[in-house]
Amino acid sequence: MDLSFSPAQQLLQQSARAFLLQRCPPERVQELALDPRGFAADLWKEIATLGWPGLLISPDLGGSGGSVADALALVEELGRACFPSPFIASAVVATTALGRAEGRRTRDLLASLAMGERICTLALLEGSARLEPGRLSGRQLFVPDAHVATDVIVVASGHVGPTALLLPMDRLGIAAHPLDSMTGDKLFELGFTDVEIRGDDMLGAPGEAWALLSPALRVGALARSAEMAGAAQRVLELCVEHARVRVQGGRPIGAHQAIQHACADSYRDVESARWLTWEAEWKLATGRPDADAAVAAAKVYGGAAALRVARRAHQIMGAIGYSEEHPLHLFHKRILAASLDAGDATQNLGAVARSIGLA
Amino acid sequence: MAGAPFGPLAGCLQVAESIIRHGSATLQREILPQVARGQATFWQGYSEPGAGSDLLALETRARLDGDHWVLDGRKIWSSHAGIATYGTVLARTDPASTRSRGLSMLMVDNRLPGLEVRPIRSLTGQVYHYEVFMDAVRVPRDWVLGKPGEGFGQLLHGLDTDRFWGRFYKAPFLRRILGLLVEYVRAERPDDAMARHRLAHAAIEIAALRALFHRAAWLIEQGLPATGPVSAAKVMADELGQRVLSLGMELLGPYGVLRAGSRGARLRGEIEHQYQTSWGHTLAGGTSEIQRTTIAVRALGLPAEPRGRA
Repeated sequence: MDLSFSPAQQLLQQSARAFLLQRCPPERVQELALDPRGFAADLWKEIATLGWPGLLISPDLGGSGGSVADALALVEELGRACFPSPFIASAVVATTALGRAEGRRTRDLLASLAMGERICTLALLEGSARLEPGRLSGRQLFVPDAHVATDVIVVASGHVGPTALLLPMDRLGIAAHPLDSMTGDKLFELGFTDVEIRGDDMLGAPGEAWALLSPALRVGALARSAEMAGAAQRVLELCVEHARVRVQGGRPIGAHQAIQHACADSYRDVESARWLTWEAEWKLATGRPDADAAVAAAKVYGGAAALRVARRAHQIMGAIGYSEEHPLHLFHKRILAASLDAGDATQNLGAVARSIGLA
Repeated sequence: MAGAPFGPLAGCLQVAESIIRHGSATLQREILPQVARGQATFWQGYSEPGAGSDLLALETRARLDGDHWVLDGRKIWSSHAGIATYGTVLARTDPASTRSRGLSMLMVDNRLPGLEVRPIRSLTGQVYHYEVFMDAVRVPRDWVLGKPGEGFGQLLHGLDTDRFWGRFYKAPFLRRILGLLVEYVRAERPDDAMARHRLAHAAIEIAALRALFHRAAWLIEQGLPATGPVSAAKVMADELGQRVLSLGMELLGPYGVLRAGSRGARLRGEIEHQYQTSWGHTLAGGTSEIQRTTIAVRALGLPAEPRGRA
């Protein structure tokens, strides 16, 4: 197992960090979080010129044909900057799913995604969307960034089983209603009122939605783990910076064992979560039989560990960390949102339990 | 760790490496062939009755007398000292020095006159640690690792790899214990959803521990600073070990406390023994508190806590 980053990955991380430091400081994240329809259209254009949305798209469609590892290296930096965007939903999960499907429409869409001209979201969860011959009705919940998405992958129940559809958001009968989430994520309920479904709307074979989407969701779970590790790493740095300069009782609070040990525990949480994610990536890339369980474990552990780091940070920062102007809550909420996305702890625990022989 | 007997082998490679790097020609000629033949094993003489977490308060001294060091002092909690052949003893060789200066790492042959080893029976009922008394023990002048006065550097250099190898086995070891508990639950309480949930959680933590050790190993292999990940892995290994063994105790219920060989014992009585030894692991090789302070100060750059003056 090789845990070293390739020179290209190191370069990607360095340039992403420099770009986000300059173009997406905490004030910008804050502003976008507080705006119910916040979306950084300017940044999305800029990252498209940097080639990020096309990272996982093949070169013949205008992407750079990167690996999952390349995407994770980048997503760590997105997490570190708390960059709010549809990147993981569109450029990781939807892109991976589309890359596995056939057809001119998916190829056209991938080419537009690579250019940053279109954004594809996912309507997979908690819904009642039902496919009758030629028509789609019902609703799906927790659809991210539906206000800026141009396309959506919908999983609808049907007489042959769950079926994946690829629809343009402007198809007649599709309506997005915002949910109000404390995380600052832009989440929507997507309503389908007698939406006309054509033959080429099918993504993969009817009834085979999860066969098509599961590998993409696994990559999405890894990406969320990497995002949480990057965010938690930054939270730890904020804690250490604060503990060095905040003086109480005549010395920096970081010279007190209680604070030192809290920081040390966060260091352990960040490092172990990060490397567990990379180990799972390695298992997935090399086709190990326990790869699915490893991804699930990384997701469960990454969520729990990053949330511990965030909660400890509130204790270390004291009252200032409780204020809206301080960036800590943005990271905490981003980690929380990531921990609940792409399979929550309960679902993933089941996969791990099966892998150790407990059905 | 497949459950094979665990002796003083763990330290051999590190001491051998240290002798290769820092030992005199005499020391290399004397000891390395024995290491190669499996005839030399080692104990570490660091802690003293008055110098535990505050190791630099140690009082063992050595003074030069012709071609020999004359070593006086008392070491304690030295694993395997009674069954090993040589010890690495940290002693103050410059009487005017304080704290980290003026210390030297001496290699001591257990057969030397004036050296007495007494076993310490631990709460498990077994002997693992020893106390070593040194009364005018004459150690050849060139049986020192590195130069006189470099002892603290020797100690620090070895500490990361010591802690790494001292705990690296724990991820596979805990995975084996987990496997035993899974077998037990499958056989005895197959419908226990809570047990299944807790075992899956433990499996995840063990995987994370292993990943942290792999990271530390990679850093050590690259010759990069590894203090942070090594100390973090040690804390995690030892605290997770206590949690996993406590979980085992809970799952076995009243059977958990029965010793190997007892009527009614389950899982070969292994849980009770490992449960007890797990209490010592958060102390041995630097307490978890010392590890956390090390991470905070050396890996994260937080200011050192002011040291009290006696």
